[in-house]
Amino acid sequence: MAREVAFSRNSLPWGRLVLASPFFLFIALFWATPLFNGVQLSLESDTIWGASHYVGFEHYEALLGDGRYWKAVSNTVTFTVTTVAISMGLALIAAHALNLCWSRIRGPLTFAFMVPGLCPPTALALLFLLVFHGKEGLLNQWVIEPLGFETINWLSDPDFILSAIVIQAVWRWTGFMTFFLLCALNARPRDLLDAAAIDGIAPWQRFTKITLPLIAPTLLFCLIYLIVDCFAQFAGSYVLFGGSGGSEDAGLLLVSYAYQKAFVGGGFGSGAAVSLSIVPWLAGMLLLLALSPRRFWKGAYS
Amino acid sequence: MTAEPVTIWISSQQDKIYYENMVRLYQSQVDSDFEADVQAFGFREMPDKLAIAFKTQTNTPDIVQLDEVFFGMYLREQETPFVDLTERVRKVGLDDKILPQRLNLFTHGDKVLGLPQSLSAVVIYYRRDLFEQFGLSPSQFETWDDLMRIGKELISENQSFLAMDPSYFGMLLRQRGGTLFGDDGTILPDFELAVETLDFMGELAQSRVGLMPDRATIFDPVFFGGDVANNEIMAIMGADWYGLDMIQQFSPELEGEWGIMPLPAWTDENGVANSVRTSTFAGQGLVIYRGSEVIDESWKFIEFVMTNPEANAQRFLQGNSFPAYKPAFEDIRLLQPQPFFGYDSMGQILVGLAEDVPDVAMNALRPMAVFMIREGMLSSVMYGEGDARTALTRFREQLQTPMGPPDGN
Repeated sequence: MAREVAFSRNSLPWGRLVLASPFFLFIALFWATPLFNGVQLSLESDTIWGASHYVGFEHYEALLGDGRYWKAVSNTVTFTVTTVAISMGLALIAAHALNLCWSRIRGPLTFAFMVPGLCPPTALALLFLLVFHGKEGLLNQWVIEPLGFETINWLSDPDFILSAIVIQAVWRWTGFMTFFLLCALNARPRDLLDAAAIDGIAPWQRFTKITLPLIAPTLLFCLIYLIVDCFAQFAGSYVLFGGSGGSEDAGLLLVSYAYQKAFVGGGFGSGAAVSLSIVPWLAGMLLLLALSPRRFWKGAYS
Repeated sequence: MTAEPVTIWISSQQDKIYYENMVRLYQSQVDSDFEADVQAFGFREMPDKLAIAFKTQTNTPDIVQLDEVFFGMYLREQETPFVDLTERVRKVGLDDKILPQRLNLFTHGDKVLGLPQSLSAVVIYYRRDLFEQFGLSPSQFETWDDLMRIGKELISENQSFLAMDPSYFGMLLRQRGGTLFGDDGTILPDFELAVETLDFMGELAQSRVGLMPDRATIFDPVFFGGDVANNEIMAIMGADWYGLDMIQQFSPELEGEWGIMPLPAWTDENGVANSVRTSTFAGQGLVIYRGSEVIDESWKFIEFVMTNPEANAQRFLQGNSFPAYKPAFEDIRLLQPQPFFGYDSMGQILVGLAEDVPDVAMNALRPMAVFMIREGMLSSVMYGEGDARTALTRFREQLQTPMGPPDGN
């Protein structure tokens, strides 16, 4: 048996490569090729028709002095941090609540939570046009006015535009993240929790010292997923603001700005430069996660 | 005989039906062998697809129904992707028969690159029932001062008069003889006039005589379902296509309750009217792609659609636009009273205003300028959160450097 295993590991490298080749082909076709073309485009002149010529890093240099670009960076980072913080906080609470509730209704409730995440973002944004409607919108009618506040023009007032995008993203992802965290909570070893309870450890300490380390790898996955999605946010804000950032560019995100450069200004090179400039910002956010204590993310048993 | 079908890109489903009908009409009257593949896209989707098609030179159309706003995008370089139609237009006398202001719209330098479908004259669409309720008549609105005065009286009865939209800025500026771009490409050449115009819009909104819709735009079905349906406004400013298409499509329940009147005039310091009673905004035209292999066939079809009486009449009757082709102004079908507009004759009103429709200064930065205005760049003034001079200064600065390094042509 041991000889068979050794044989299969050492003598069939080509076979394994052949089996893995569809994956590499897929990556080359749909990831590496567009990426390479994008880089190439960002180094070419903004020619909408006819041959372009090489301009080096001029588009990137132009971005450094472009106020709207920095506004888009600031908005995107604010949007990402806020959305991730609120979504993950709510998801943790919701996952705990679901974990404690009657098991027969846990399934349907979890599914109901997940529905917004399963909806196409464009369809969700169309629904949110009604939610954010100035006077007749659900948010104003059901929340803002009953609380005694003046109605808010969520899609036009620069003070609230970014909040509207955050609310939409939180609505979309909280349920989905709840599902992942619920799975992680269910995977906790019962014996550890029982032992802690018998030893009289307070609930908060049980959460911070046992539960949190146990679900840490899932938390890490959720954080990375949300951060990447927030940086790539486009469809939702496109439906709400028509590809712009709304009044005063208050909701201008990086992908929307890339769209404007390419499809409104006719500058594909500039648009590609904005798109690719997202990479360092996104990598920076992920690096912040990587700089946090590695032991924590590996979970208690690692 | 046509070698292959002419591919026509259209920017709405409604217009696709019109062009399919026109293909059949052309086949029956001119060329029975003519074949066309009419493809419809969304209004915003089509320019995006077109830009990609031109950039990659893949799956390009032969004829494109392109809005003048997006047309400007292709003027960044000296060479445009469109066929120079100057000689063909001159040969069939279309240069005399199409309203010059509209033909200029699709002209770049001395080259005619497209033919305008619509007159795009701006009027005010008002609610007859609400006018009756408040004892108003269109003749009371001779000047913008009249409108402001009456509007403030209505506010005391908690009624706003005019729906606001950032795109009004360009319309009002043109009505006063101003322009977004000078002939030399200067942005807002008459800056003080622009400041005064935006200030006026700010005053309209701040006094609530003008009501900003929830999405800050009148080009939105939600606007009709909310502000219009709830009688929160009594009037909307818009071009012919706005009334024929959007108002009829999104407020069918208000058939017969709408009326049409010319814009109020601007006045000088003595209160004397000194402007025309109309303006212009957007509107589509037909262009031919330079790389097309069926340029002649495409041109013949465009010429037919632009000059055939039935084609012009149907464009109006099917809710697209009022033609800019002057011989069509005499077609009785275009001058009939329309039940939807309370038996006002949109055609007669538009023909009366046609000669006054102002020119639009075409510029490669125009798409970005319109986009920035439409999508809220100047809304802060209407929300009372900024002054007109600061907003327009910022608008001008951002427009001057909206792109990366130019092509260098």
